[in-house]
Amino acid sequence: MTVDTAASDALLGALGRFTTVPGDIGRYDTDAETATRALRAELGQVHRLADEGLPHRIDSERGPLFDYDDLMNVGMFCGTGQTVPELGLRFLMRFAASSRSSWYAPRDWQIGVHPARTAGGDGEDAKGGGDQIEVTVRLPDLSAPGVELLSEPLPDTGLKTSGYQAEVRLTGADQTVRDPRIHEVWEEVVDAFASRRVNYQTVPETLRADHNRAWEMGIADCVVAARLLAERLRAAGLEARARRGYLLGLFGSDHAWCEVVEDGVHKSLDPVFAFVATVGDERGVAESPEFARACYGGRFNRLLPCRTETADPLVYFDGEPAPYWAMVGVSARPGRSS
Amino acid sequence: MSVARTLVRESLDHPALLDRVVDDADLAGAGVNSGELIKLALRLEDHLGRPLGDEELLGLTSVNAVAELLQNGAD
Repeated sequence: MTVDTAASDALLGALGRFTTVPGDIGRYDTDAETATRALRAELGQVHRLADEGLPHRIDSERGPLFDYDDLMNVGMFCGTGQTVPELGLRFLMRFAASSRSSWYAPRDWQIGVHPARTAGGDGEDAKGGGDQIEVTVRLPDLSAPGVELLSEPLPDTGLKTSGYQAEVRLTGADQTVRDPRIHEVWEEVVDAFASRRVNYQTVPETLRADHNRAWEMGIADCVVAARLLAERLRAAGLEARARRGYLLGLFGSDHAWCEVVEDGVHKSLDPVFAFVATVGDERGVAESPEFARACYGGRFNRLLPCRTETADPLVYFDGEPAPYWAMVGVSARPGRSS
Repeated sequence: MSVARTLVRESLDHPALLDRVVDDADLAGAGVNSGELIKLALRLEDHLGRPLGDEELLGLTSVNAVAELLQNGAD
């Protein structure tokens, strides 16, 4: 079944299952036609969302305009298993069902970061450079453990205008964490997701910047969780940082996680991956306790960290964090030597 | 038109894009975005009647690669 052929109320099941973006920070600029592509839905289904209470503004020419993050959450929570957000998560997380050794072995990747400049646009927009938006992208952290650049050197700066292409070799690390202080903080965060006290959902960048407000609202995504975890670990006297980069697979996806220093080594803590692997089938992702355990200290060979220690945004438009949809122009594929 | 090319075309928001893409060209490099790749993967799973493995997903880089998967992947 696809959403295209499902009943007109197929998306309505999402309403009430996530927290909509607070009105003071919502960006109501996504039209219904763009929403149909993101959700693989028909126009009538999207209009039903507006009728049934999904926040929107009415534009006299474009009709109802929605916040893109709200639409992503509709896709994630409608339960059809057929929307782009659901399918994206399912496909990107499929590696968790592969053998343990495959998570860590050296793997070469070609990555292209050419953010889309329009909702529903493609990477070609950015490469053509035909409009007025100044795009800035965050570069990979080539000093991070397990990251090796195989292609031409990139600028030695944190940010770069336009986009870039690179080939990298990522080597994972099969390791865990022993310090009970880390374990206590980790359990607090992961249990909040597992017990549903905090709902795992897409959070707009403006709210991510106030991660404590988001957590108190009972919502978090990978950026909120990574920042909160790093903050709590530092409060416990540990050296920790919130990382952000790309999860590589069928494409490249914005992802954030935490790193804590133990025995002089940066160890990754990924509460969102751990949660997703624990709940398993809810969104079509295979349940894997072994993978969930590996998220506590292990480093995977498909996470490319960028140059930030506070999980700052990966793409900016005119100096402001780019909308979520800009990421559709991030590509990944196996490297030439793979 | 080959089955592979048809499946790719049906996955694109702007199907005319494929007219400029030769069979061995890199799809992402030609402007195929992540949402379209997701739809392509789903159509392939529907066509083959089984989930694609992680390595098969990583290999969806060109029309030729899709054709190869269709040829070898129907088990």
